[in-house]
Amino acid sequence: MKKTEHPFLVFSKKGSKINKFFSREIKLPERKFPPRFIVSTKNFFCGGYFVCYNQQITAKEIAKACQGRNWGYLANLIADFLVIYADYSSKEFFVLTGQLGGFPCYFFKAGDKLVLSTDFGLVKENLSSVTLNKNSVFDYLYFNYVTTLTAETIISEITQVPPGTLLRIDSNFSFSLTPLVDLKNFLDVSLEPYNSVAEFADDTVVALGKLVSSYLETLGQVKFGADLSSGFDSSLVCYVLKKESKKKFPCYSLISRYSLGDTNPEAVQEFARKHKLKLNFLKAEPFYPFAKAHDLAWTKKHFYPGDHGQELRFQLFSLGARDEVKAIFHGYGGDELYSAFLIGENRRFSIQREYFYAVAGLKWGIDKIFTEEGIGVLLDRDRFAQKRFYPSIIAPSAIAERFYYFPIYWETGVWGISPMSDPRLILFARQIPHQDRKVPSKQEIWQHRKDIFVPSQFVKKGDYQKQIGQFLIKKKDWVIPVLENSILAKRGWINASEIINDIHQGKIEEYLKEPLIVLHNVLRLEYFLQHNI
Amino acid sequence: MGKKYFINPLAVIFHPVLDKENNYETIVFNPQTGDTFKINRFGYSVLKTIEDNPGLSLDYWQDETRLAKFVDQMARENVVSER
Repeated sequence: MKKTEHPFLVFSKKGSKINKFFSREIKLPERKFPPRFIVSTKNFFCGGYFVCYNQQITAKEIAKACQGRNWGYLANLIADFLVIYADYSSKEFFVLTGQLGGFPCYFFKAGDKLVLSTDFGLVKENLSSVTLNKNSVFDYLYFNYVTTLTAETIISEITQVPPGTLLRIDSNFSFSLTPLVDLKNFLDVSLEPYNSVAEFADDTVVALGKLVSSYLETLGQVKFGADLSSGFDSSLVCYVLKKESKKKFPCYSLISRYSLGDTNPEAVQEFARKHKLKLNFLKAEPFYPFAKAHDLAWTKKHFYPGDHGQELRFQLFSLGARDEVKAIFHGYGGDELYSAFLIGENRRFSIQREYFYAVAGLKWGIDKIFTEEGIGVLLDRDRFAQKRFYPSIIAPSAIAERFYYFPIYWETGVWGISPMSDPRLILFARQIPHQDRKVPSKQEIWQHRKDIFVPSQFVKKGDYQKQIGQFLIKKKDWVIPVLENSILAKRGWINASEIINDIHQGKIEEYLKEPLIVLHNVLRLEYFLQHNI
Repeated sequence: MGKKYFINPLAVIFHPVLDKENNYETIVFNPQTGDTFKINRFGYSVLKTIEDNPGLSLDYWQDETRLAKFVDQMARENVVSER
């Protein structure tokens, strides 16, 4: 990813700059979508980036809501935003993020200095020394940040503002984070499940159609494209987009001969022909994790997204940039949508579920990666008992896709839009027919909609591990030195020597199964740490 | 002498804030089968008491019948161990 300018703010003295010169201090680079807004008066500054998908709201109205401290109203809009508000009279300063998780915001406060940006790397560069945050390290290595939302980052000194959260910095320069997502109100809506799967499926198409129509209205003349796989979610989004927009738009499809995953090229082609979609294939093979200098350089400096798909996603969004599209629709959140009826219970017992998910790792071999001490940290019950997590209507796994992929959207200038993660659709999807915790499979749900889907989509999904696992086959010369210098091994958490021996002896089969993503995460974090700690 | 009970640390987790918010209902996990079970206030209180007093026997409680049934079920689900 090339480096483009990010929103950035540095305070060097307590409250000194929360005055009429504030607008000079804050850097808010222009952007086409979501657009930048600024309302600056002698009493306050209000600015940031804002796009709302369920109603029209002007910059002045945003500023008015901030003046009235109407944070809950803003946070619960169906909107992507980062709002920065400085009140010159009270010498308070606020940052508000939207519940859809469009914008991350990282900051540190040390003595009289506060640094804040959407770019983790930029904030880190302003720190004189950094400390590893053990909790966040294990949350990343094992959970990939998809189970709960927290304010922690891999660096203890740096805090992130979770989605739908208000950061307040008062005149004494102390800060607080207030979660604002109204999950209770959302769960209080009483809904009965449909009796018929077919009826539920039909009404899902109608509900998605209405949503997509509101997104298209918001986009106006902004050119858009769509991610298209042979799975049901992105293809449904493409179908609805075509129907509602009545426009030709480019679709992008990742394919790899190593593993089919969600994308069987024949099925995608058949689908594209059926609905007259303009299809662009991106061959994924060269972009496996750590393959490209560009991927490594980004990880070294900025760390986040920290995901195995970051380079692929960057390549896909770069195709969009080439076509001058400013937004790409995708199907993220689709998997979570079908279990929306469990939101209440899942959020209520999120820490327990997260812990039990970690315990389950003992069965599939986390001891291939973690030492006994490492497993002890991962399963430390006190660690879980002290966790503070933030509420969300959208599943943390679906939010993570946007929250952590933000740098790609920013760098390419192409915004990701996830109608499947829209709280309005999630509310509707709570009515899915189910028995206990079981719902029909996607194939069962969509089997009668042959007008939308093509026969080759109704097959068992392929796995995607082989594409990711190429780094163990083709990048041994990079993997081994990284493990030899392992900081995590020096802390006693990782079996680096055993993994190196296994790689030398060609015993990599076990690592290509369940432990693969954890091993990937170890390597990505190692690479970052070895250049920054 | 009655059996002594211990919490299986892989099967139960207590969270002071969350548990209070949840009105002291929780879920527990059978690490052998991967199944989870919902636990009401009564069960929560039993499990928390065992957690705080490892090796407790059923004699500790007055209402032994209801309790024995619950603890027996928890033992079968590998949530508590008996020695």
